[in-house]
Amino acid sequence: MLCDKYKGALIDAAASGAALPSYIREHVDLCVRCQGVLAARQVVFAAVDMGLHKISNVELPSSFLPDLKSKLVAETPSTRAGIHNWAFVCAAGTLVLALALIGLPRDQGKQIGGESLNRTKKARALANGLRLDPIHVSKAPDRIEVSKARMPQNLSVTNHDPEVLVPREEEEYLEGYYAKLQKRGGMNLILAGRQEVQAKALQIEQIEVKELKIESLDEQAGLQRTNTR
Amino acid sequence: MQELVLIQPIRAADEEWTREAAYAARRREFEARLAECGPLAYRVARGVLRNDADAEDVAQEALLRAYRRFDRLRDPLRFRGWLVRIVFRLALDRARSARRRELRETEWAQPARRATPLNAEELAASSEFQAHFGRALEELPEKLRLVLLLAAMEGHTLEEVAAMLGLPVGTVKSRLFVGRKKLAEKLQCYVTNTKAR
Repeated sequence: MLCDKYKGALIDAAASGAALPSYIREHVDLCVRCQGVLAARQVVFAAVDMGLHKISNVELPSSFLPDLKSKLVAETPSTRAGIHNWAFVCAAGTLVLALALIGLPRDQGKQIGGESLNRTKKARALANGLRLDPIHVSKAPDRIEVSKARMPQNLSVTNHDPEVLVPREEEEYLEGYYAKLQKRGGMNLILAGRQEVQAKALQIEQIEVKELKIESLDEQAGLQRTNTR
Repeated sequence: MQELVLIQPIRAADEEWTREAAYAARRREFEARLAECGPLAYRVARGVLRNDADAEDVAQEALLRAYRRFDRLRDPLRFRGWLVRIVFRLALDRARSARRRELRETEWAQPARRATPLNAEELAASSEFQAHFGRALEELPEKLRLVLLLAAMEGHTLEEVAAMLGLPVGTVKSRLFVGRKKLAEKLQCYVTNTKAR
């Protein structure tokens, strides 16, 4: 038990190869057990150093450098550059295609929707100017109207008024005509937003008949025959 | 337009030639380092793998990788440390996969029992000790292992190892001390057990 306190110092001394401190040296000179421990440790450390030296200083195989140089030559820069270029082109192409696929339907929808909106607005304005029936102007794109029309439960809500489609060649003429009418005055342009037309029951006021004259149909028929003869 | 058609191939050839020349220069520069760094790469790989064929394979793979990324290296003075790290990583990966394969396919062969050697030379020369030494080295933490291998190589001072790994000399010293101590502890058990038989 007394020797255990020297154990750490003995191992450190064996590991570093340094000389023992005097008080430990004195003990080791007297203690056979500690001498054995120190000697065993020194043998192990020496063996460790030999093993490390042996592992770390192996001779390079003679074929190593020639093989490596031939592999380096095989690493042709043109092939590698070609591969890089192709990879870049493929990646860029895929990216552009993906962006086009994502962006195209929206743009188309916006363009078509915007064009039809403009046309309907013009048509509505012209129709109002000409005192035609009120026309429903849809601010939403066409596809929304279509989707609503396809839903039977929304039939009561949707507008059944026909839209006025004006051919392009007639648009200018109608605009000119409308401008002339406005100059003359008396035309009120009602610009309204989306109108939801509710379905209502048709109400007819009571019909009042003041004079009622009943004639025989046979007499009338006889008169007509004589006239034709 | 015609002029363009006539000039373009020459320009392309010029560019191609310049590129080829740059690659050739780079290859020459790299090959100049091979004489010095080839053995270093092989020894690091061999120290981890303890197998000549695997070490050669891994060292060549590491050098090829280094060559491919050679132009990305900003400081050429750090080439050795950079290469050592590549080799060490590749060798560790190979060692792990080899260990898995060995465990799957075969059982560990028990080393033959012989009489206990008396001195350090006999101990280090025995195949049983070498097998134990290899396993003990594998069990060491990577940072300790790399320092032990590099410091044990001929011609490497502690300062050089420190510069190679980008570490302070004091850190290298302490890692070396701790690494040797741990190795000795593991092998001490083996020595004690064999003596007790």
